Amino acid sequence: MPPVAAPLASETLRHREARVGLLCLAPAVALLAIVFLYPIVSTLLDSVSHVSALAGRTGGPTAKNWQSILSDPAFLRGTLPRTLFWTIGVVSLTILCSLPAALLLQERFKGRKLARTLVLLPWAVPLPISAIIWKFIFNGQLGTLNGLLAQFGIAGPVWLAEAKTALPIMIWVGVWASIPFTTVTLLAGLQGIGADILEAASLDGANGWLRFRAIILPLLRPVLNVAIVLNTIYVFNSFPIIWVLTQGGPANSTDTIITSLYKQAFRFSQPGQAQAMGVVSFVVLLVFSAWYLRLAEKDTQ
Amino acid sequence: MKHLLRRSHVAVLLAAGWLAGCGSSQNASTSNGTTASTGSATPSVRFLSMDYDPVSSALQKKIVEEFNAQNKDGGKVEIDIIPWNDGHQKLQTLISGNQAPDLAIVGTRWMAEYNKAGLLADLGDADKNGVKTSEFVPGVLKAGRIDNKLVGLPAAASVRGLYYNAAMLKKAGVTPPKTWAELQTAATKIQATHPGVAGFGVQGKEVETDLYFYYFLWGAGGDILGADGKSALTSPAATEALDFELGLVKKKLTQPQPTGYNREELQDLFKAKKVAMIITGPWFAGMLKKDAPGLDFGVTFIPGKSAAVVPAVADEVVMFNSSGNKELAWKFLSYWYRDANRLAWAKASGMIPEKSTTARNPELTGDKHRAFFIAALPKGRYVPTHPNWEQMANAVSDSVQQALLGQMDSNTALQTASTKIDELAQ
Repeated sequence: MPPVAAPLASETLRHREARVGLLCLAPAVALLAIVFLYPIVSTLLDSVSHVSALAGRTGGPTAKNWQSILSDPAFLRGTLPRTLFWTIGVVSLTILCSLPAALLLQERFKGRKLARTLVLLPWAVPLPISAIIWKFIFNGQLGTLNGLLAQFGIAGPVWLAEAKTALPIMIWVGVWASIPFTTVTLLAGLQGIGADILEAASLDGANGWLRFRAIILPLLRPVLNVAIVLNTIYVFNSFPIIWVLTQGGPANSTDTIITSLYKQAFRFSQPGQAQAMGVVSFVVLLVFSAWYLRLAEKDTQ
Repeated sequence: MKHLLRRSHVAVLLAAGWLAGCGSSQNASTSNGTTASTGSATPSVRFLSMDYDPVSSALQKKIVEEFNAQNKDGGKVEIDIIPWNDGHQKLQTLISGNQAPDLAIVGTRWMAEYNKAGLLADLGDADKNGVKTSEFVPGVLKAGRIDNKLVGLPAAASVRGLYYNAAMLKKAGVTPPKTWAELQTAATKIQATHPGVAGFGVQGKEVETDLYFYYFLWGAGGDILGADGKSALTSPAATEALDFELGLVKKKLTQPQPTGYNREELQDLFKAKKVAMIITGPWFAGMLKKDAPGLDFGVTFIPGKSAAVVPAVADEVVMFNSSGNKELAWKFLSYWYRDANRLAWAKASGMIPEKSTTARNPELTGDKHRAFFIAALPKGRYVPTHPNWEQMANAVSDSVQQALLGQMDSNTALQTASTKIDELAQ
């Protein structure tokens, strides 16, 4: 037997394997291209074209859409920073509430099952319905909250009439709606931390706070990072809460990119400008996600 | 773990892209397919209608079913009723996907946009097709006419009027106001005799916030667009109108913080006897009788500075040029506009019949509130039809809101709206 034959045969086999492998990948690649790549390319193209709401793209490239949103102070100095404020506000408060909640639900106590179920409750209600209920609660003269305040002789304001009261309410509802997902995610992460490590730490004399800081938090980091990134994306793009509560008003003072985009696209028939806003939010989220995950990776290393 | 994390990077980045990138194309698939199955030989007409309320939606479906039943060999009408709030978006998606319906109910504010894009059929030969234009209330057809082309027929007409709580007016010793001065006096006296009640209600948010301002604008003798098609909001009359509306708020003769109240929420305040006078449409009389049976109310013309104001709004039924079955569409319209059907519609929806032949019916004129609106319709005044109207109206709403919030004085607010309107007018 010549010794060369064996590697040759395995070479062709490897080639064939590679080809089969590529073939198996093809459907997934095609799906990704259709579902992800096509909308992204189409959005980019729309943002630099004259787009008619009724007839699609017409004519060659133009900077008009970009000029009009970038020269609009209401967008640059209003909507854009407000979207960041709203996102950071909701995400940070959500994490601040969910982490203690997850730690608590991890402990053994009577009624834990009930408590776990209750935390999930807001998740079971569709977001627009929750928002409508909150809208009733914060309604001006006939709202539940003002009715309650009236019992104590306090005349509550019309909560959703001005940005200075409407924005905090929007954030409150956003936090309320984000807690279930975040708590469950963190709870799953906590359950992945071995009881033996914590027990060993206790034996070494580590108190609760030290155990949390030195063991739980570092081990929870990867899950926490995923929770932060996913929440940021969801909240940044969240439409129903704001739309139901204020429709971005009064006078666009509670608009975020997504509600502003919706108005441009479907109310004012300006899809080109709407797509340019879509690109802005795509870029912001892309940069944020890449930056944050890289930071997180460095951290874990 | 590290490996897993890196994979989650990719997923997160892609998810970010997908969520951010979804545009108008996303909804296209949901609306197609359902009615496009016209494989058989019998022609069919797709009618995209809007939802006014559950009762009148059921009636719309019933009328279509009856038409189909007696038109078995001549083809059938397929009706799809969707909420008003989704209407513009849905039509936009259908049209851009070459799936425009044959007939649709639209707001006059969208009609000009579709007409400009050359999508709407000329309905000028309605008489030849079994819809008698002479039977319509004089003036109501003009809302559907653009540049002398009839592109829409009125499908739901309303006039706005001043609703007042009769018991409160009586106790305050005032009669229903006819002028601005009387309105202010009435509100003051009502508040003096009814602690906790606001004399007059002002709408300050969402759709029709601009219309609430036009009630005063028209009342001062002003207008939105001038004869040259440009903004007329820099006129002294416009400033006077906005100052009057703001003045009522500043003098605390309205509910506090009007920017927190849309049309429905204002109606709720009236029902709850928190506000003594508001401006709204004919449907509200029916709602009051049902939801607040004990409330003694009346309707009158909206007071102007010196003369009454009669704002009217008409939703229109339009036919798309792309329709392959215009004959059947007309046949259906002539059935739709039969007096019996329009009478049933007026009773179900609370709207005012757009046909004089229907409006004469004692079943409608026997009700004093309906009779008021029926008599007012011929004098109705409409907002302009312009392809960019939706954006113009939004510019006015934004300015009115900023003035109500005290962020702008009336002159700056009107100047800001004017600049935007002039840009849009070109």
